Amino acid sequence: MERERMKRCNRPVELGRHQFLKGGATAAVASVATGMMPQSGKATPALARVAYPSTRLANIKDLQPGQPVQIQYPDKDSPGVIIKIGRSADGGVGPDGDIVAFTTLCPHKGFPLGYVAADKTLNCPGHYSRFDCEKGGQQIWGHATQNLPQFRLRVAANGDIFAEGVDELIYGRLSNTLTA
Amino acid sequence: MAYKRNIDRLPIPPKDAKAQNVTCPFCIVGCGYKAISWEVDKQGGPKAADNFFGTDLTQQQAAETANWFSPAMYNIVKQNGREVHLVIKPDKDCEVNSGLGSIRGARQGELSYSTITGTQGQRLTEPLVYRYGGMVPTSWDDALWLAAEVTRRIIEEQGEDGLIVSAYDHGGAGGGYENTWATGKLYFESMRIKNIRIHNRPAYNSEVYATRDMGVGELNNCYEDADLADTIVAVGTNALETQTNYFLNHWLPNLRGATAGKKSQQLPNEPHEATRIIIIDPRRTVTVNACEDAAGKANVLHLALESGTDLILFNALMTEIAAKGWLDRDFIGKSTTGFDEIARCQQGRYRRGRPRHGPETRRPPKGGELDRRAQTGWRPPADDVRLQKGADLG
Repeated sequence: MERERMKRCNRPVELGRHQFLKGGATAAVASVATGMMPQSGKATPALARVAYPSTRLANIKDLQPGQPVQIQYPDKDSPGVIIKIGRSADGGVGPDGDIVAFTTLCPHKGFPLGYVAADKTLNCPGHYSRFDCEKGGQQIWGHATQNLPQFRLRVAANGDIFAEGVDELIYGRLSNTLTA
Repeated sequence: MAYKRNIDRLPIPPKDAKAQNVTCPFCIVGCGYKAISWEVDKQGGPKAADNFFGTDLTQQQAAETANWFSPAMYNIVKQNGREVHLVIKPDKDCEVNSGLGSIRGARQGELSYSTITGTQGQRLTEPLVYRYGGMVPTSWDDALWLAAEVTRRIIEEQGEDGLIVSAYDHGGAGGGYENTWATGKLYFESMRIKNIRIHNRPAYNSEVYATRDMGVGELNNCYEDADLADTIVAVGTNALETQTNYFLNHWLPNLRGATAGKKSQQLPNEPHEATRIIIIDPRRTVTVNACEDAAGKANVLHLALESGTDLILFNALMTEIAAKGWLDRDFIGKSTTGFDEIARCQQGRYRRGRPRHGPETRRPPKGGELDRRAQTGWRPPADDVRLQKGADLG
């Protein structure tokens, strides 16, 4: 039993030593990594992230409050929607900050989402998931394991709205852009 | 602002990735998942010949595809000491969930223990003992010594009746003592403990022991019953949220009429009207909403009883059923005692009233005619009664 008590007494010391070693180890790895940077730059390195196209979705004057417009982004097989929801929203663009665009493929099982203007939500007819268009596609209720992928928008001087990125993985593709 | 991962692609499992069937550990439904793993330095390609799915992944996959997984289904973990990619995705071939994943099971990947990605870092890796005002890590030797000493002293001072064990029970998908097997072995086999309770019960007993007294053992159904029932009765259960894929993959298709073919095939020679559901629950749950959407409001009776009145309701239902003679005398005789007595006691205690809302009652023949009608080939509608554990205790 004496042995056990000793073990217990040493415990905080062990923990501290462990933390110390851990910190030291990280520093050592970092310095090694610096010394091993590749010297040759001839090969074209593969990109770590997909390159998104800049796609014109609509012009500000085409959008009526509460009237969703069907779009496709980043390509024709990826349906989405652009909506002037009538109130400043997360990720919203335009003079009122209320123009947002989302995928309409439900991130749960890929069923097509429908817009309900009354509460500014996108809703799934398959398994009842709901997403809040004012709050960046926050899942209000449902069984998707991610919030709704939102398209990043830019407005040009002439009012054209471009999509230039996506913030989550789109349902049904392991790469947001379908390239070989 | 909603949390976004900004993950724009995931590694593709190679053709020779290892696939294992696993069962979701979260609830009792027991949904099937595929655990796909492969070495961390390998990866598949989008061409059909180069990936585990044998599918051209340069194409958008359709709804309900088996060839996609979400970031929550993915992780890097250690498997037999080696780093591997791990994907845990719903199994389309499992009849329980048919490829559906819930908010719980579909996160098994990112909820796996990983020293590489740091997920589930709070997982217990050593015993904790309450000491010095908090839970303090200690060695197994110390923890077992403490438990043994406390046990010995209680038995010495109070005898075996003084010793009460409060344990955690359940493995994945209702596995009983599976993941506390050693605890069960110690207390039941070695110590022959007299008093034990588990996480949610006063004793190590059935959660629905009153139904046993009524002649109906628990877990007596199969999921197909919910495909075939003409009327589903749900008591206190919010199945869409708590047994999601049982509801979505079995109740919902029935309520939408999608199992009509199966009904006429397996239960021929009896009428199958549009499926109805009675939901007895003080709350207007998402289950009620989904049922109304799927079956139409006319086929859903939400009986929003006042909290604490369920026993009165059940007694009233029993009294009404007995008065109408809708009784399976054979079953009651074989499975219960004292039925006539309780029926007599209840008689006249409840005023009959028509429900103010909901569907008109389907009317089987009245006045004890079930037996005579059965001889002419008529059968009562197939019912499937689902109750939340504890509801049977009133």
